[in-house]
Amino acid sequence: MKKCELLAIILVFGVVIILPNGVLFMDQNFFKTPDTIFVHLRQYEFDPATIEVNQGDNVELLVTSDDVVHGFAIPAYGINELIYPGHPVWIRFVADTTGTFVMECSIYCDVGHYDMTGQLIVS
Amino acid sequence: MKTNARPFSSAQKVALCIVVFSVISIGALAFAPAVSAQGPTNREFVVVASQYAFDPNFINVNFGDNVTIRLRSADVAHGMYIDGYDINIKLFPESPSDEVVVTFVANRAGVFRYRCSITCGGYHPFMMGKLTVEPGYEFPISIVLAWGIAMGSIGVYWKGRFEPIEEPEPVEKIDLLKFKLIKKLLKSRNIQFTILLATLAIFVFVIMSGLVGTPVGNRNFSVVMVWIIWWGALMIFMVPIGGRLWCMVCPLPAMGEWAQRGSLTTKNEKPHGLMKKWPKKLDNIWLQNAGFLSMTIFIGIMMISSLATALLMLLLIVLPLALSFVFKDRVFCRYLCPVSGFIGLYANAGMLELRVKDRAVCKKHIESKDCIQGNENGYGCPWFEFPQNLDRNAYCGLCLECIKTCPKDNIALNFRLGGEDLEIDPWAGRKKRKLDEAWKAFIMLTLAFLYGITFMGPYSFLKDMARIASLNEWLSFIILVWGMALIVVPGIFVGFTAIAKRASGNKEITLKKLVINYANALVPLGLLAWIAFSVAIVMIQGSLLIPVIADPFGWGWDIFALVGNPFGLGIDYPWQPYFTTFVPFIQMAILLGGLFLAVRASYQIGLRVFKDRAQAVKGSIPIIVFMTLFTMVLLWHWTGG
Repeated sequence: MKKCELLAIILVFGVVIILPNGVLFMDQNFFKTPDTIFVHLRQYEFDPATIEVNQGDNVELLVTSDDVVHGFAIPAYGINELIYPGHPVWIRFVADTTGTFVMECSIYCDVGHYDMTGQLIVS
Repeated sequence: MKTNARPFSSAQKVALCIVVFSVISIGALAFAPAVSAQGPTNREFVVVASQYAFDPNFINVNFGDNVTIRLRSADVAHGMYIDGYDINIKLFPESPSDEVVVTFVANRAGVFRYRCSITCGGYHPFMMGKLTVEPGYEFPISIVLAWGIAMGSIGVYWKGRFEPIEEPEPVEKIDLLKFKLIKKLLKSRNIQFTILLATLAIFVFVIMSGLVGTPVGNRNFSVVMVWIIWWGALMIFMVPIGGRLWCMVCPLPAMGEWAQRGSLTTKNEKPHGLMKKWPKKLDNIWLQNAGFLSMTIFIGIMMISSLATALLMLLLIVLPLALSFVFKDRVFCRYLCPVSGFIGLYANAGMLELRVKDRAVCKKHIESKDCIQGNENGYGCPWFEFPQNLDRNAYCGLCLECIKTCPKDNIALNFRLGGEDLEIDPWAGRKKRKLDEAWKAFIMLTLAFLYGITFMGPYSFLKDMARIASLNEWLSFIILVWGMALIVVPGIFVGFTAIAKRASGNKEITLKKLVINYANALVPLGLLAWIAFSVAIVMIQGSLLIPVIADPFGWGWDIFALVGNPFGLGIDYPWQPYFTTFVPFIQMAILLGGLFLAVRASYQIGLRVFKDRAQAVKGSIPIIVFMTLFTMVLLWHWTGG
């Protein structure tokens, strides 16, 4: 087999197999840390609905919306961020107070808005 | 019917046709806004935004008015961007009664679209209304210009109707293979493979981002790349300038071709697969028409859904791969690919052509036909064309094999002004034009208008139909699209062609032949109508490319920040429409240019078919009238209220 043909086969393999897997690997190891919690907001839920952390943790949330504009608010921690669809926002804070806190949507997002809540549990 | 019983002579019919046409044109000017007698007034509008409409969807004010807009929302966060004024207000309601207010002086006359400026769901990019600031003169002027182009051309042709028909002068062409570097690049299999590899990598990225990326379409690489960037590049640059240039670099059939050839970069003598021949009965583009029309009824979902886009791309890779095990060569591209059909049709007006340098050389070279049999340098034409007989671009996929195989170095890749493929006699040679191509032209012309008014118009009921809000709305959309594209528009065109046949006074030429031939005059009209559509898409939504390069999957990446924000962009990469003041003028120029080229093409086609100037003029007038009225409808949509 000619050298360039072998190289071509390796390149196609790289594009079809290694490229997608490399992207996933990069995302997990370079753009995020193992502690990053990816939170999806949707009409009308928080996914995950319950976030559990330990007291003293440096909490690292990556919050995005999958449909319309929402607001990510944890009033007890003074957090209130505007979340645009498909545009994740990093929210970092130190979980210094223990307890169970309400996460709520702070931008009106149609009829189910007032039911859209979640829980932050700091133990 | 006896000829002497006819109440009108053909010249009288033509005159009648022109009078009716002129009355309709002037009637269109009734839409022209009148100058208001009253002075500047304060006007207040409560605009209620909802998914996916503004209420009201039309706002009319007078030049100089103080306009106040109170934007409220019926459901979620919305914004309002006003073209031309570059006003952008955003409403993030904390309760349903919140509103945001903007006041401005209407100091620009004309018709401006206002759009939602905050992603509010799938159909956010298409949510819009029209603001008319009277008196705007763009639309009336464009109508007069269209009428002028039609009447001026008819006048010129009419004046010369008794002159003899002389042979057309040969068109100046530049053979790109004259340049040694280009020739070297195009002869190299490795270079071709490298380009394919690059486009394949982009497609792998598209499929991956569609499958695992954010479901928000306009923040997902797949949707932005395919429906804005690829589509815009295809219609605005690749087809008009390069003809089937896209087919040269398209990665979709590459896997199938590599599998069949058993090789990526070399000529392999032993192909894999059953290598069956495509059935003769299907040697036309009806299947492409069917495939394209099947896509159109899901287009309202595919354009906004990253997942649907990825699945479509997967289908378009798997299908040619599967076919390559059964059929020989590029049957997918030639007979099935839904985009290949219109690329081929519009490539006839493109500026790049592959031809033989000298047919006499081919005719003398009878020992072998390397371009169809293949030789050690390359494969026989995978598009089932015979280069020696190529006289139009329709089915030459620019795969470059014949450049590699021709032992006589007789292949040319010409850069030309374009359009003459439409005028050559399609009834000569091996491959005849048939109704499949004519209907392709009708389908594309119809959709250039239907997609425009659905996705870039102020009518939310059309958007509800396209996005399959309910089964009934979807069925209505299917009936609307298929009915218009297959029956109504072709029916009207056939009607005008029947008038053309009678006006010409020629009895030998069948109506079918006339329809097939005159349908080619719709190619420049349709192509430029699509360019006008695509320019709007790219100018308005093109800035979405920046965030999807920074974060292709919506996973919180920021590639520009990694390299220190070289373009000075902020973290938000906001949506920003470009040149909204000029877009309608650019579109007007494109549409009028398309009309001019189409009028010219129809007369040239008439000359070729009738072989008589007087008949050609009379026969072309109804066609010109049809095309001008169609252009006026498009002008109304893009520049009028």
